[in-house]
Amino acid sequence: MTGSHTHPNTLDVMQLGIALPNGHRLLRDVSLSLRPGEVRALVGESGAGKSMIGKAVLGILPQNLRVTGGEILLEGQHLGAMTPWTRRKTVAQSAALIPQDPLTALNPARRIGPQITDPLVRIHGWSRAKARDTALALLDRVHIRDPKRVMESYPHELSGGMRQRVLIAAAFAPSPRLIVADEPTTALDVTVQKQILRLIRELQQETGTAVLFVTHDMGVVAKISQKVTVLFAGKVMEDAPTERIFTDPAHPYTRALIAATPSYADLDRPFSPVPQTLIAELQGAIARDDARHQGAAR
Amino acid sequence: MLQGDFGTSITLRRPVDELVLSRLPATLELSVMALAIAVALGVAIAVIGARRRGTATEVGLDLTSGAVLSVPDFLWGLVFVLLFGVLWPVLSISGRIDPQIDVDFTSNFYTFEGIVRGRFDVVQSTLSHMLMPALALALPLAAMIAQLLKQNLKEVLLQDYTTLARVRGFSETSVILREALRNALLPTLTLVGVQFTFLIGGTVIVERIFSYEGLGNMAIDAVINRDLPLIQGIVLLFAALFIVINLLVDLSYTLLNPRLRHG
Repeated sequence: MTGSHTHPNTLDVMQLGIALPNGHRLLRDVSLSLRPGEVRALVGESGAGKSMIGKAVLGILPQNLRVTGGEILLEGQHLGAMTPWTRRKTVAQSAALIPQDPLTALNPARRIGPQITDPLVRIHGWSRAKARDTALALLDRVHIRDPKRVMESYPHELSGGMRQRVLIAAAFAPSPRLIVADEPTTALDVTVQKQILRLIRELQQETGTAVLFVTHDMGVVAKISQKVTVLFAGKVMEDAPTERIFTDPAHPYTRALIAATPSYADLDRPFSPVPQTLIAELQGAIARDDARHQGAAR
Repeated sequence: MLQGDFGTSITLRRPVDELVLSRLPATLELSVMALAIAVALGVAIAVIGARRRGTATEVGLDLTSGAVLSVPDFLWGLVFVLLFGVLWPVLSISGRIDPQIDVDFTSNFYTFEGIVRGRFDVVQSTLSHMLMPALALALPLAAMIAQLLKQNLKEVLLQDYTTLARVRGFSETSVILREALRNALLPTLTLVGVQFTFLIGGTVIVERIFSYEGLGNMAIDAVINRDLPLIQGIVLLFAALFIVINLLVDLSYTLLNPRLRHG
């Protein structure tokens, strides 16, 4: 379609930097890429900036944040060079979001059906009938009983797990090339988490959609991803295939993170959080780096 | 009185119920028109303000609505009389309808019946008489709606489902109109319900300013003439109106909020 010999990556984030208006850096030269059909997990503790990368890609960063540098390529197209209108259309055409909290991600005043089919009809230009058939088929695919009734329901009539299924169906409906899954299981209870995770993985494999999977759960990482990017304080600590992250982690922070994951198989094993000394050491390194960065800017 | 006999007016020498009901349509038409203007203006300004949030446009709209709000309805009435009745006389400043028009209607809902019967000369005349008093009543309410609704819109626009709509490719304007407006309207509806009853109270003075032949004007005459049966009838009718309006507002919540249905 592009006429080029090499298929472009689905997503390239290059040297992305994001800062608060006061200059405090939230993302520091983050780079990562996703090939078509690939799942990349983005792990890190709270505040590491993992969700922010997804938001930057989708163009939904909070208004007070500014992008200080770097470039985002979606299917080889430079998002930064586009007008807001073109960018919005481009992102909507090839990307979708599975949000964190299914309880707040559906409009309480509107029925489920239109919330799935509206974008298909109004943005992607499908016929009403095609959009409805696709929505019904996908709701059935995500194991929702009686899809016709659910289409007529309001969000408050569905459980949290069902709402997340609806949102997964809605994300896959326009056949996006990239899905950003922003901690999609965090707000759900543990039994539902597994089902939702399996569902995302199955649909991802069936459709060949690339997924940027934001999570803080190393157990989830092992189950779903081929590649992992480990973030700490807005900086990439390690970028490696999932297998190697677990068998031969290169960075001490990655090792500490894996060690901190509680194991259900071995409940007697003591809980071992990431050591404070390591965190202090990493923060010191980043602070020195920032100082040098500011010195260079002057 | 409990048997439906409201007595006879002392000054006008006619049954109170007959007098009051003959004036009610004029006041209702005026209030409904004022309400319609207030809602249209207020919602439009709120949507524009939310669309341009964080810009000078929003600040300008806030200041304007603040200023409009601080001038009471009767003062707006006097300002309009001066502007469009004296300095640039384009609108009628007195009465309900052009006296030269022959009205042989069965009801006193001149505007409504005029539309139904296709008598557009009547409709045109009543509308041009109502425009200024209705606008005077509507402006403060419009400013109030604009301020409250814009604030609620801004809150709703931080919700996850509006973010999701943006990711799906909807423009900010259609996110506001399709996703946010319905959810943001609920608190505004409460305000409109309460304020509409105040607006009907405001008709008393505004009708006087424009010599509009409604209930309010009659109430002032009745008070001046110490016509107690008439005062009593009018007050009772106003009270009944308040109750009906509040009931309608409560019922209309279910239209906007599906969670309130099914009981």
